[in-house]
Amino acid sequence: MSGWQRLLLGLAGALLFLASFALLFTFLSTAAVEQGQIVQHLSETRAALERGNAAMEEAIARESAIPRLQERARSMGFVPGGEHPGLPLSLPVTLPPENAGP
Amino acid sequence: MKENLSTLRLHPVAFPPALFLGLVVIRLIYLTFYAPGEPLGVQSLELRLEAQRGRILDRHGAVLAMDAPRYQVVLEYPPIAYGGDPTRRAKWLQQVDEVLNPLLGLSAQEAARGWPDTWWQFPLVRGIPEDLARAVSRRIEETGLRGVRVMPYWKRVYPEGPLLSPVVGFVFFGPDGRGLEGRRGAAGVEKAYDELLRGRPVILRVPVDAEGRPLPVKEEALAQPEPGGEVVLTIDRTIQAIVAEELARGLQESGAQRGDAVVLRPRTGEILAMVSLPAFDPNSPETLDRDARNPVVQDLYEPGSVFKILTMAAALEAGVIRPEDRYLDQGCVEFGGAPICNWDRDRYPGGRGWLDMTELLIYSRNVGAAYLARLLGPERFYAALHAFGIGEPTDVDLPYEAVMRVRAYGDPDWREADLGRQSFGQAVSVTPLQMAVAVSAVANEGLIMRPFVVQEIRTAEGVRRTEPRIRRRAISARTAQMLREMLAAVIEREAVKARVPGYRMAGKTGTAQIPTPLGYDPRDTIASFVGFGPVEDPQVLILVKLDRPRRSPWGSEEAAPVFARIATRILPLLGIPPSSSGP
Repeated sequence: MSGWQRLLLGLAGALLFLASFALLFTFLSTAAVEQGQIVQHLSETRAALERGNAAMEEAIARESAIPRLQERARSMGFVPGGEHPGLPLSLPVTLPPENAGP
Repeated sequence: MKENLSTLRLHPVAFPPALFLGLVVIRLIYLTFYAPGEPLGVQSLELRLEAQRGRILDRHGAVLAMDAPRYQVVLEYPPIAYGGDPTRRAKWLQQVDEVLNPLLGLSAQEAARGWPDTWWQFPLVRGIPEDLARAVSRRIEETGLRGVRVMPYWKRVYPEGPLLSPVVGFVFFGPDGRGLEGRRGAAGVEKAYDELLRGRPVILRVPVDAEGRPLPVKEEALAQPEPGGEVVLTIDRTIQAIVAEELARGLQESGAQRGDAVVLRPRTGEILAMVSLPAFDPNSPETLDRDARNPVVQDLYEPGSVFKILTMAAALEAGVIRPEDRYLDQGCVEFGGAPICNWDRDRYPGGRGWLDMTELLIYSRNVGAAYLARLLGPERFYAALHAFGIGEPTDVDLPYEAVMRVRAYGDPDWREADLGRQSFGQAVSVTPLQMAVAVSAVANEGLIMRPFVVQEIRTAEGVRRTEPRIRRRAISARTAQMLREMLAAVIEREAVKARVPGYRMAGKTGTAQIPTPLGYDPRDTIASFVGFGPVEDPQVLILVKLDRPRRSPWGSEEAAPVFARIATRILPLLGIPPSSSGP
């Protein structure tokens, strides 16, 4: 084997090594990007869940806010108790027979 | 050997790719070593991911302020994708309209007229509901429309509306008006605890694809903002609602322009309610004008006769009088060259004759207060005011507390007549909170506590509770006890409209004239009442103030009933048992 041939063989070997390295690098980079996308997707899902949770909290807070409670109480027929501090109640209470339990 | 060399000669066909590769390498070397910032300018994006702002809760955990998700449709026109060609841009906007107009009912072409050249993103519409946001996203996906994105964002909401607005405050966008610098607390607790509530946003410089979408190739692209901490208030929203309701009724019945009320625990300084009416709605930023403030902390007024409590306390503490001591009440006296008259001088031109110290308070004698000031002398009088914290901030954990210097003995602008007027609450200005805190010393064995509205802070690091803190002793426990009995007599014998069924309360009326640049307003007054109870174990203090009532100018007529109604409703709610010797 002549000197040139040995040189060419060496160069081919080096190119093969570089190509394998580049392939490995590409493979790992792709895997990293894929993993990154998965993590990003999970983090987006978490953010969406947090938004959903906050939206539910908001709905609960709005429904249990005092102006809303007062409005609902009025719609159910309740009246402000400021002028009526107490209602007369005599004890013991006797239930009519049809409402009595077994 | 010559033949071998000829096979290695560069073929002319390979020259152009080799040249191209060479140019790429040169460009890479240039970008890497000589212009590291340049590629980021065109191929990366600065993203601000806003943190969810922390909630503000009342003492029982009810939500008073929170961040809720909203959605916006954003137009994106990155130069890297489209270049600066206006024809292409117009065509693209037309496409956007064709796709989204049926859903959103607005024109992107018209909206984009206000789109500054320097922005490559522009919000087309904000605040759309989640279902519409989903429909828009689907439509964009189906049509393959480019340059339009549906993005979530956080909006501050206040479920209780105006009920707590002066205390809780509100947030606004930074100076750029678009939120690029994030939202900031502008008033109330939102302002005072802004740093804690704000959390930590994430600012990313990430590479983007040709559409301007961030590429998940860098670890930092996965960073998430850190939500803000939570603030739990001492405010009880039920008590707040009761106070607001009764104050509103007081305004309506008296015809007063506006009013304030504050409820606090004198033993600890906890503020249970702080109401000002009319109040602004923090959910409508467009209505936030100069009234978006907290008058209980920020507005000064001359307190009038409620100030006699402090003058009497000073005199008792100094030992210059005892409760049973008497003085001769006259209709008017001269003090430092200025006349001082009683409020009822028309009815009692010569005064009420010999009165003891309790009667001085019961009948609210200006002449009597001036008599006490004369006995005390200026040095002891102003030392007492200082001890009660008059003329200095209360150190409440709310922003923008107003303070007015007391014109005192030794000041170049002080006159002897000032002493006489200040003894009954003129020529001295306080906020409603400062007045309430000063009187709370009488209810708390002479000790002044630091008032506070935040009882707990919750962060990722843990929970921190606010401990009650004594600011100073204003008077002795014995003086406080004597004064409590005297103030209880005020309600029992004169200010009958302040009586609370089942409870023995103590308090004092106030009817203050309103200073104007031309002297005191001849017609309008500020009617107020400050009281606490039960006398045997004071657990709650209430101050009510009505500005310019129309029906009657007197605190005993207008403010006292509001005090009584508030106390009647909140004392049982706080689990305070009725007094054994109550009326």
